Order: sequence, then structure tokens, then C-alpha cells
Amino acid sequence: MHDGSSGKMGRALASRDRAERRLAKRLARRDPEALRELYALHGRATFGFLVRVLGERSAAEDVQQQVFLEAWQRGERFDLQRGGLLTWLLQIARSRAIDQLRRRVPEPRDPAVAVALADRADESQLDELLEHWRMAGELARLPDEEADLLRRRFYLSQSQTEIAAATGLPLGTVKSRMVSGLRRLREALEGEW
Amino acid sequence: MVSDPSAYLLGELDPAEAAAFERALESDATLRAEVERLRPVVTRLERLPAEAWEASEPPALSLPADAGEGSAAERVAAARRPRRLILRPLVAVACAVVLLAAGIGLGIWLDRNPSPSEQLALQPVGDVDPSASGKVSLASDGVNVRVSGLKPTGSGEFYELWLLGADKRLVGLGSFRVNDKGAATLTLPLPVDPKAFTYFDLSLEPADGDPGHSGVSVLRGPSAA
Repeated sequence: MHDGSSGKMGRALASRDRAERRLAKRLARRDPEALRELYALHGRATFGFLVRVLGERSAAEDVQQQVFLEAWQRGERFDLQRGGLLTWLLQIARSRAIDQLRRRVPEPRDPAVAVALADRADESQLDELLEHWRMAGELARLPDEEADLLRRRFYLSQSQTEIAAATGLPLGTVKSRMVSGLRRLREALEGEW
Repeated sequence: MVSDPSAYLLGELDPAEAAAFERALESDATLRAEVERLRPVVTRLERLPAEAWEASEPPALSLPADAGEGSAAERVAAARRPRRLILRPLVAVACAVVLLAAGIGLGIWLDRNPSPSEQLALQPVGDVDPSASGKVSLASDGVNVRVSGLKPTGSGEFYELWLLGADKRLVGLGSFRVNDKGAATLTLPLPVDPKAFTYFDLSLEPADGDPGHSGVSVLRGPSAA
């Protein structure tokens, strides 16, 4: 818009959508390489979500395999109109995580999440976690130079001026890349608010 | 840069600059729309927990059988299949001696702790080494703690045992360091009823003078049988 970059970004997003559509089609045709690509793209986000929900890595590893096995088996049912592949995978992960929590004997987990889940009292905490990991997954798909600036600002709490000094980038470039990253995230998450 | 919304959204403008930006917002509908579109993204990024920025590496993908390799279920089963233990005769004798000694030691220990049924297991949290473990048991003079397999404490850090309630209420029971094998056995005072809490929680604390929980939990287990 103001800096004239929205057209370029829109094209980049359209290109990403096309790539996602192609990947979904290949998955539906049961192309093993598509499953590998899907895992490389989103495996980290689903695994992070599962580790956080289940509270232990070994259980998360098992459920992670279940999630991608299910994605492989149900690939032809994926509907891009209802959300992207990341959203779809995280929804599968959510369902399998709930199955796992309800199946097992209660054991130590982070009480901020799992206590409520074990009691089936409040799955909204699970949804909040899901949103966090959807955002983490989208951050991972940003161009590196934009993701790095957002990470510095929101994770390392550096100001834009500090980021400019640390990276050697002009302050104006820091600002424009940051806005570009925010716009890209907004577009990617559009329709999920 | 009045038309750049990032510094405004990130709260990095001084009051005069922020006021000028807000005046620009009133007169510029496009800018206003841009700010409103980006604001929820900023809010969500600000709320993103640390682990979402530092996501751990996922395990290798196990391809299903019809994707060209062994089935996922077979691979998971294979990963869980216990390894067969093969002992040479001398090693077997040495193991027997060690196990006998451990058994005698355990017997003595159990004899000093007449309610072994009240031993509570602590298990690793998150990415902590899965071989780390701990046990706590309630005694008349406090809580007996035994931990092993932890990261040895370096200078400027220590472990602290807490009681943690479902409402996130925390009571620190005491701090300690572990030996170079990551083990420690000690008794800590127990000023409150653990049944009023949900977990025993062991955290790794920096020696920074902050009495609060560091947020780095390493072991956790139920506070009552």
C-alpha cells in the first residue's frame, strides 16, 4: 500500500497458495515425496504443539507419527477451501492429542494446560495453544530476512533501532521488512480470526 | 515516517510522535485500515510463548508402508522394542554384585522409610534427558528427595523443589545442587500439606537473586499418591 509492496507480496502469497494446492493434490494422489515435503514444511509446528500439550517428548513423537500417517491416509479429503495444510494438520494433531490425553493414566504434565484437559473442563486452552503453533508455523514460512526481524522484535524484545544496529540494516529497511512480515502473516492467517 | 505503522504498533514512538501518527490516522482511512489489519498480528506475536520461537526438532518421519518404507506402526513398535541385554560372564558377575549391593542398600533405605507406598515419582519435563528421574517421599521431618540423571549444576545455578497447585500457586521447599553425576539425596522441610497441591516440581534456577520460579522445570510428579 503506502510503500507499494503489497502487489509484490500479493503475488508471493498467490504463488504460495498455488504451491500449497499442488502439494495437496500430490498428497491426494499418494505421492510419498509430497508427504516428506509436508513434514518438512509443518512437522516442526505440529511437533511443538504436541510436545507442549502432552508434556513429554516420547508421547509427542508417537502422536506425531500418527498425525502424518492420518494425513497420508486422508489426503484426498483435504479441502483447501476450509483452511491451509498447516491448519488441517494442526486440527488432526489436536484430535490425536486429546485421544492420547484421555487414554492414558494421568501423569505429570504442565498444569497450565494438561490439568484442565485431563478434567475435560476447558479445551479452549488447547485451542489457544493451537493458535500459537499456527502462528509459529506461519512464521517459519516467512522469508528468512523478515522472520529474523520479527523474532528479534517479539522474542528478543529488541527495538527497531536496536535491530538496525545489530543487523547493520538501515532503520527504514527494518521498518519496511517488519511491516512486510506482519502483512504476510495477516494474509496467511486471514479468515481465521 | 508518518505512513509507517510499525513503530506505532510496536509502541516505539514517543508521545509527540504517537500523537502525530494518530492525527494522521484520523485523516487517512487507508492508513487506519492498515493499522487495524496489522494490530491483531502484533498482539498474537506478543503473546507467543518462548517455545514457539524455539521449537524443537521433530523426529524423523516414518513413512507408511504404502509410501515405500515400513509402516509407521511397525516403526513405532520397533523403536519401542526393548533391546536385548547381552552380558559376558565377568560382567554378569559384576552386575550381580552391584544389584545385590543395591538391593541391600534399598532394603536399608526402605527400612528407614516405613511407607514406601508413599514414594512419589518425578518424571522429566519437556526436553529434559528422559533418563533423569526423581523420587520424593514424605517423612515426619520433611520430604526426602532423591534425584538422578540431571544436568550437573554449574556455577551460578541450582535446583529448587516446589509444590505447585492447579491454580499455579507455588511454595518453594528448598534448593540444592547435584554432584557431577547429576544425583543428590537430601531432606527438605515441608511447611505445608502437599495434598493441598497438585505437583512436586523441580526447577533449575539461576543464582540471580530472584526468589521466584525460573520457569525452567526439569522434573515433575504428583504431590500425593
